[in-house]
Amino acid sequence: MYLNQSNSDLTKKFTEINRNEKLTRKFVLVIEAVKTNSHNKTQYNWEADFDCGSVYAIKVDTHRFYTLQITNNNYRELFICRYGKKESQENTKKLTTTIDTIESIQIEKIEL
Amino acid sequence: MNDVTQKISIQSYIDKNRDKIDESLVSLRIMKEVDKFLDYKNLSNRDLSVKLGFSESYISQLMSGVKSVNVSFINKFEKCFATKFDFKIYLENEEIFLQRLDEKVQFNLNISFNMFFVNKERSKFSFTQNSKSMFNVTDVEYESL
Repeated sequence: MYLNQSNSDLTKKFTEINRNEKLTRKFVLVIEAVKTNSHNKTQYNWEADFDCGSVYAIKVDTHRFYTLQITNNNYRELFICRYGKKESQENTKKLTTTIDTIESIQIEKIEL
Repeated sequence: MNDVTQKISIQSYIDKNRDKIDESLVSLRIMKEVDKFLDYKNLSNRDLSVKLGFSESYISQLMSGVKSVNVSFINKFEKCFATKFDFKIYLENEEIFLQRLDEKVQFNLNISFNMFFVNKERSKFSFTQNSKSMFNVTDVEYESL
């Protein structure tokens, strides 16, 4: 699992979740369920397919961590890329602005 | 909180709560089947809560693994949708198990039994026949090999 450290919204929310045990539990349950393939749409929802992989939303209460899932040598690699909520005009605008301002992407692997 | 602390907090949470997490994963395996069924029937979590008489919040907690599924839920689900949960117990290393059985026993197992497990200590195999559920086992038969 990888976390996009370039996205401040994402790292901020990720830190927030880590400080709250209930949210940490929910986040961990999603990841562990994905690892054992026992996840469901309430936890890990498919959003879209791309050439390089698929985008899923890790759902923790109202939080959404949009994640690119890539299969590499039969291993699933999760790149948590963006924090968001349900689709809305405001969110789409924010996303477009964020994409336009990206100059480089820095990714760090989280060992679990 | 720096990056190192973040990593430690998640991993330490998993290490500290391994058993609880594993319990939730058992429940989530069942809820995944429920989720597939809802997809098949084109029903939402809200629809399910209304049909079963549970709150939407409870269904959401079951789906997220915060609460564990119980036999009351399964019973209501089965009655509501005229369905039946079918539980199977698989050995961790099924190949070794099957190698120890002769062909006749394997054949009987394949056609007759929907649950079986091995008692490693006694080198005996036992199984249940026509069991109603994992938690309400009746009609138990034992066979030594």
